[in-house]
Amino acid sequence: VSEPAADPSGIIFDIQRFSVHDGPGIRTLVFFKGCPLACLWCSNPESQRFDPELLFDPTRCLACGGCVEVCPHGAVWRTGEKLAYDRGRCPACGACADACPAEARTVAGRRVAAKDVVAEVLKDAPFYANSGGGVTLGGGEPLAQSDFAREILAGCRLHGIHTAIETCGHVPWGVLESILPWTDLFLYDLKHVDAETHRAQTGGDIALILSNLERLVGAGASAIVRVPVIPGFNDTAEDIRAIAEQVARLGIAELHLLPYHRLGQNKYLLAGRRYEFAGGDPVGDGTMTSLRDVAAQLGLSVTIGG
Amino acid sequence: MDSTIAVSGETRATRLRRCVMAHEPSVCHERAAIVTDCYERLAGTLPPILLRAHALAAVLDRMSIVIGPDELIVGNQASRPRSAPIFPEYSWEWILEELDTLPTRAADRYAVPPESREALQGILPRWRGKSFRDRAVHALPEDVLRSHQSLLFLLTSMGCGVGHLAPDYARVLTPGLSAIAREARERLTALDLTDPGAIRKRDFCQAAVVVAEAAIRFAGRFAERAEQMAAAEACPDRQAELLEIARICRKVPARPAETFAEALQAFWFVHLIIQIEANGHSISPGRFDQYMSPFYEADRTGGRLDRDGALELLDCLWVKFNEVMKLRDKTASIGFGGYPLFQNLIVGGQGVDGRDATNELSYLCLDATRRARLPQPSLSVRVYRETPPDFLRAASELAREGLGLPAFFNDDAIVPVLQNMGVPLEEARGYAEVGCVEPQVPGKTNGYYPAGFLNLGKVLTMALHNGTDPVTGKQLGPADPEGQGFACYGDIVAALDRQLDHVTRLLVTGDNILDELHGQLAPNPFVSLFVDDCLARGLAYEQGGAVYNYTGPNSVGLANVADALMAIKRLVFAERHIEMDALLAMLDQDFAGHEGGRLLLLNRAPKYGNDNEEVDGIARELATRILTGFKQYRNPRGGRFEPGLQSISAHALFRDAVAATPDGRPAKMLLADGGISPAQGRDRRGPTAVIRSAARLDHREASNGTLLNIKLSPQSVAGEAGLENLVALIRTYFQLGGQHVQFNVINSAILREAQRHPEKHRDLVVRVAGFSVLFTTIDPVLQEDIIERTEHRV
Repeated sequence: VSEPAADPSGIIFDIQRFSVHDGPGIRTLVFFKGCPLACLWCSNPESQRFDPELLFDPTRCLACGGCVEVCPHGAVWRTGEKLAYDRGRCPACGACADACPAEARTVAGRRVAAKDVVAEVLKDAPFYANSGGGVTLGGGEPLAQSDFAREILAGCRLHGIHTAIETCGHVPWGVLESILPWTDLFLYDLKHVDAETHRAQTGGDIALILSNLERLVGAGASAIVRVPVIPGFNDTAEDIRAIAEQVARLGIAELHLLPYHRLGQNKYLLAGRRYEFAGGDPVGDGTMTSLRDVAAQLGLSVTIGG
Repeated sequence: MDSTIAVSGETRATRLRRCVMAHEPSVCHERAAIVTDCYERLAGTLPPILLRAHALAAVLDRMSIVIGPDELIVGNQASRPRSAPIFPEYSWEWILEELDTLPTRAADRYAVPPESREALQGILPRWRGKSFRDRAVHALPEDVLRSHQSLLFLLTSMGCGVGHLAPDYARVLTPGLSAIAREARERLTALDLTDPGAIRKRDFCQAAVVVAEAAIRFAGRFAERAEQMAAAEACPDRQAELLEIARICRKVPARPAETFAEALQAFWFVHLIIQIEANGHSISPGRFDQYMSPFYEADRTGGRLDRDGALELLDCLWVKFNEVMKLRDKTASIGFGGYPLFQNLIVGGQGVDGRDATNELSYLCLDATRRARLPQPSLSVRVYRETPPDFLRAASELAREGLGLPAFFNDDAIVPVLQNMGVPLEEARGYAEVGCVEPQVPGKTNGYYPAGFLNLGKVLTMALHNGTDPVTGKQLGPADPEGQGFACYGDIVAALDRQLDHVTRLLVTGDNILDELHGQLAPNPFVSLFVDDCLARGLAYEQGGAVYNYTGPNSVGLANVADALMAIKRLVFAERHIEMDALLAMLDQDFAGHEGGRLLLLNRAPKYGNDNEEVDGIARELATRILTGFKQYRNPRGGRFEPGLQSISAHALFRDAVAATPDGRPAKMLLADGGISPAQGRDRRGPTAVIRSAARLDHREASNGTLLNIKLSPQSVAGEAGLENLVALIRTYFQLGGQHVQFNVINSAILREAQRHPEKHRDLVVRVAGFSVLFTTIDPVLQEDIIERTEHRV
């Protein structure tokens, strides 16, 4: 067991309290910024990059010009009644967001000290105690900022808070090993078991993910496997059966099937990016039920949704 | 007669519910005609208490009585279900003026049948100069009346009865009204009329005998009617039911009840007659599961009744609670929207020994509300450390069905509040809730809860305008002749304090005058039979006959004012984003051309309800300041002012009466709902943050209750895990010291509204797939998606 480093900090983009679908009970969910994968369907596009980014919502903008006055980079300027914005010149310093009364300009991502995150998590401690809840680190990929993540997990644990982490598992084993003593529950993503398909759609190596999962189980970790069910990627009975077989083989009891949704589509616009996933419509309730049955036949306890 | 239970497959409750709810609310003139006749014959010859007694007796003897198909519990308030009797002795002029608009007004419409219209046009003008309201208007000082008319506060007992109590229903169950009448007669006989206090006692005891006997005759009329109907009834099952009704009505409320059905019928007669005697609302059944339980248990043990049979009787009673109506004027129809009668029925909690008193009937009451799906009774649940987890789960399960029922109350906070008010521990443990959230010792208290609603939003705007109300232009508060200057945040607080002191005095003055008048002009003998120590003291409920006498005014808009103070403190004086003069100019222009400034105020200073210590601290200080301001005053019944923080729907009424406020709220936007709820849409960090903010207020000071509304989406509390989370929210709030919480579990109609007005619903959390989001932050296509899913899941 390595001791946590002294007061590390990291980049997060949100802390959401009363989060009730990311582990047991009432939880606080800490959204880490930055992810080693690049899934096309990602519903939190602002979680992918490691640096802060500016989100701009033109429907909220009053064109008051407060941002023009404060921008040190000349990235916003007035053209007649309207304002123009050049993302290329914008390092997302946040001066405009501080000046914007309408919340049209906001920055996704801020650097915070682990102890401050722990303090925020502790605010809801009595709710965790009464509901069997706790803290969940999600994102983004929390383990891409592993010292920071470990410090938060350890800090929460020292206060008796149940800890969970949502991870894609695409990290060196040593990283997982280092947080193992501080983590009560792993919510472990498994998207596909075919190496080629997995790499093509996520950019990640499934062999690493699977071997990490196996080692976690071997080390006695408690894990729930979560599968985002993505149309055209892993929504057939064969896809789910193949995943479920791996899960069953490892002796993991619980599987969550999370239906794909287009929730994040608008956030791509706010971040000035395009939503390029074109796999099709969300998987219907009927299909989800039959996929659940496929996995359940292997003896797994399967839940649709978190 | 429809008695086809087996054939239709419908329950009796379903048919009763449909039958009653098919009646649109209407006006009934019968009571008005009888009472007017009675007052005109007797007013000059009798003291008020006896006049009231004879008027009630005349109504009970002469009004139409109805036994509806399928009814097992009988007793009607007016000639048709959901028709409102008229109480012209309290007020009449507005009824005459609004007769034409009652059927078409914006809220709480009433049909006016032609015969009632004609009758009322004849009856009402005969009350000119004689009604309670006529007297009240002359008795109130000009500044009090002007403040009421300008909606600086709302006086709520100028034209109707006091109501607002949990009577001691147990005494009609045992020993019954004959014994009560006998006791009154014995007291009469024992009086020594040379004793100066004896004259008052004689009048009171005589009145007690008159109304107790009238109530027994009233029940007798139902017995007779049931027998007649039985004779003509073709269906043998219904015939047997009618004969049973007749048997019961010959026995109760005169003699002690012995069966559950008898106890329910006796209860209903008392509950009903109190609402025929006067039109004060919030007549609250109180701890129904406690005083009814012996009768239920006896029937179960004796094999006379099974669980389903008991539930069917409760079904009948629950529908009855929804038949009762109170006609309100146009203003009050907004301030008290939705035909509410606030008949608060509370179950669970501890006994006088501090042990858990939850029983089987507590659970049955939850079931009855689930089956009825009707707004009345206002079901409440008492919770404390030792409340059985099963019971809290069952109550939470009902709460998440979206009815907003039950409300949850915290013994661990409320019992000490009552002890602080001088109530002994055992009695405090027996508390009931009256109306919305007003705790009291049932059967011993006149808390005078209709003591009005203080409009804090307006007080703030007056503080910023040297005592002038910007809406009416009237000088409603004290002015500094030198003019006002605001050099620092402390100046703002001082200005607010000054106006607050003034308006508190005005409201107390108004309350005490009306309180005194109720005692003088409209003492009600029947309700007084069910309140200790009225009979022994020879004083009515309204005259100080109760053991505990409080006055409970309420304040509306706490969150807005706290948010406004925070915005001024931060943006004007700390960060200097805006000059005070510029802020005032912006407010005077209702933010026209200053949307950026408005959003700055709204978005750039912390808001109450987000677990922010600074603004929550301002709210706490403000609340304590308001509450302690009232507590220094006393009422004419020898009791103290015990204020609370709740709004009913007065925040809707005050909407137009408050100019733009520095929390970024434009004129005519609603003030915060509830009493200690955050302003609409400003609590953006979820329910745990709301709970922590609300718990920061000093609930011990709010002796007339605090009211917290929390909105939840059905998805966030769905399933077994969701239920446990709801239970955890309640448990935690109560561990942190909250008094009351109720939940709106949002349906798709609200989500639609949220689409149209996202700014008011920014706090709405919905479940999308593997996680939850703030509804208004997602794009319209997905909103549509969620609405559709919600519709078929809920």
